[in-house]
Formats: sequence, C-alpha cells, structure tokens
Amino acid sequence: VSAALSNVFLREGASGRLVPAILHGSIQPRHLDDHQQHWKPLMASSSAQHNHWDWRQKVRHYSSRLSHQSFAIECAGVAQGLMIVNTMKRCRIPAQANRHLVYVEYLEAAPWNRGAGQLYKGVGTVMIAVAIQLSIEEGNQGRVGLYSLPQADSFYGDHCGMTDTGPDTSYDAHFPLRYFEMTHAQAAIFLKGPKSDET
Amino acid sequence: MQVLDELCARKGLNKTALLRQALRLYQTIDQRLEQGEKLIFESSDKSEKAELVVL
Repeated sequence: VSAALSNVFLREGASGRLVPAILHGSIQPRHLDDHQQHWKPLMASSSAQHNHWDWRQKVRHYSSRLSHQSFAIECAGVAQGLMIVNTMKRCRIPAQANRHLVYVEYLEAAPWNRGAGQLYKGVGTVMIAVAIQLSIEEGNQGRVGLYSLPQADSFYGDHCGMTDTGPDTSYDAHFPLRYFEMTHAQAAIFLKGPKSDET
Repeated sequence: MQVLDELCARKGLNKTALLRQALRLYQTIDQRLEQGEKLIFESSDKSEKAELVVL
C-alpha cells in the first residue's frame, strides 16, 4: 500500500459483480474536487455524522507530516472513498498495550456508497484492509485502532470484528465516541474474508 | 548497534520500521518546538514534571 497506485475491487451494488478500482497512496487534488463537486451536494440532505468533515483542510493539515498518510479509492474516474491514517499512535487494549498500530483518523465513503441502494459496496472494507496491510508493512502485525462515529459502530464491531472498548469520555466528554481496536488475530480473520454485507 | 538491536526487539519492529518511527517522532516534536511549545514528561502519579530540553 506504500505504492502510489494499486488495483483493488469494489462490488457493484445493482449487479453484484466485482469492478476494478484504483487505490491511490495519497489523496490527490482531483479527489478533493470530487468531494466538493459530487459528494457535498448529496450530503446536504443527509444526516451522516461526518458531513462537516472538510477534506481539503485535512489534507492540507496532514500532508507534510511523516506521521500521516492518506488514501483514496477511485472507480469510474471518481473518488469513492477517502482515508487518513496516523502511524505513530499506540495500542490501548491490554493484550497489546503500548504497541504501535495504524490509527484511522478519518474514513469516509462517497454518499452514494452508503446505506440502501449503494452504487459500490466494499469501500469501507477495502480501506480497513488497506490500514491492516499498512500496519503489517510497518511491522505492527495488522493492529489498527480508531474512534467510530455511532452510525459506524456496527461496521467496525460486527463486520470488521474489532474489539469495542466502549465510549471514551477522554475523547470528548459531551460526545464520547467508542474506541475500537483490532488485534493481530482479528486482522488475520478479517483478511480471510468479510463476515457480513460489505460497506 | 547492540542498543538498536535491543530496542528493535523490545518494540517488535525491524530497523527500518524503528527508524521510520523515530523520524516521525522527530518531525512531530520539532514542529511543536518550532511553534514555541515545550516537551514535558510527567510522572504517572502526576507529582513531578520535567521539561525535556531538545537541542
């Protein structure tokens, strides 16, 4: 996943067939343009909890940091998902406390790839697989951690099989998000295949 | 090099991964110091604080 480009596959929602997509090892300006021009208009009427995320600002903020890496999945010439990870953070669950992991700062699928009637399924799944692969390449044995927005709790807990440590008031006392962490063993299970419907 | 080997073993990382982490940490600390911030270590019972002076 360190390479600039990799081939991945998404599943077309309507037909169920796999379609080729491109994984970019950094978010490009055109992906930010896609977010502004194609994602934003659809998000105005949605209740997604990450609607306020400003990807252009995030990429500007993190692009010069060695600690962070960004990814974009592109299919049919349009950005289908964006992710920024941090490779400096450490594990929290006792079994692997203080070991390094890949921490997912932000992960978002295009609005047409969420909920019922998804255009492409598997964006979130591919992104988590990318985080696991990066974790392996970094010598972190697939360990991944993240805070989940409530709308995504079941995806990370049930679909990805990550350990749910519960709401963390140290993150935000008024809006304590749940912290999820993936162990080496959970990463190996995840990479063998999805447990439920792709997201 | 023995120290490096021991650190790698303790962290469960190979030398490349360890040096990558070291560079990330160096950049992060350097950027914060450039902004005028201080690097401070605090004891686990919060009774003592010490500033780490980075040249």
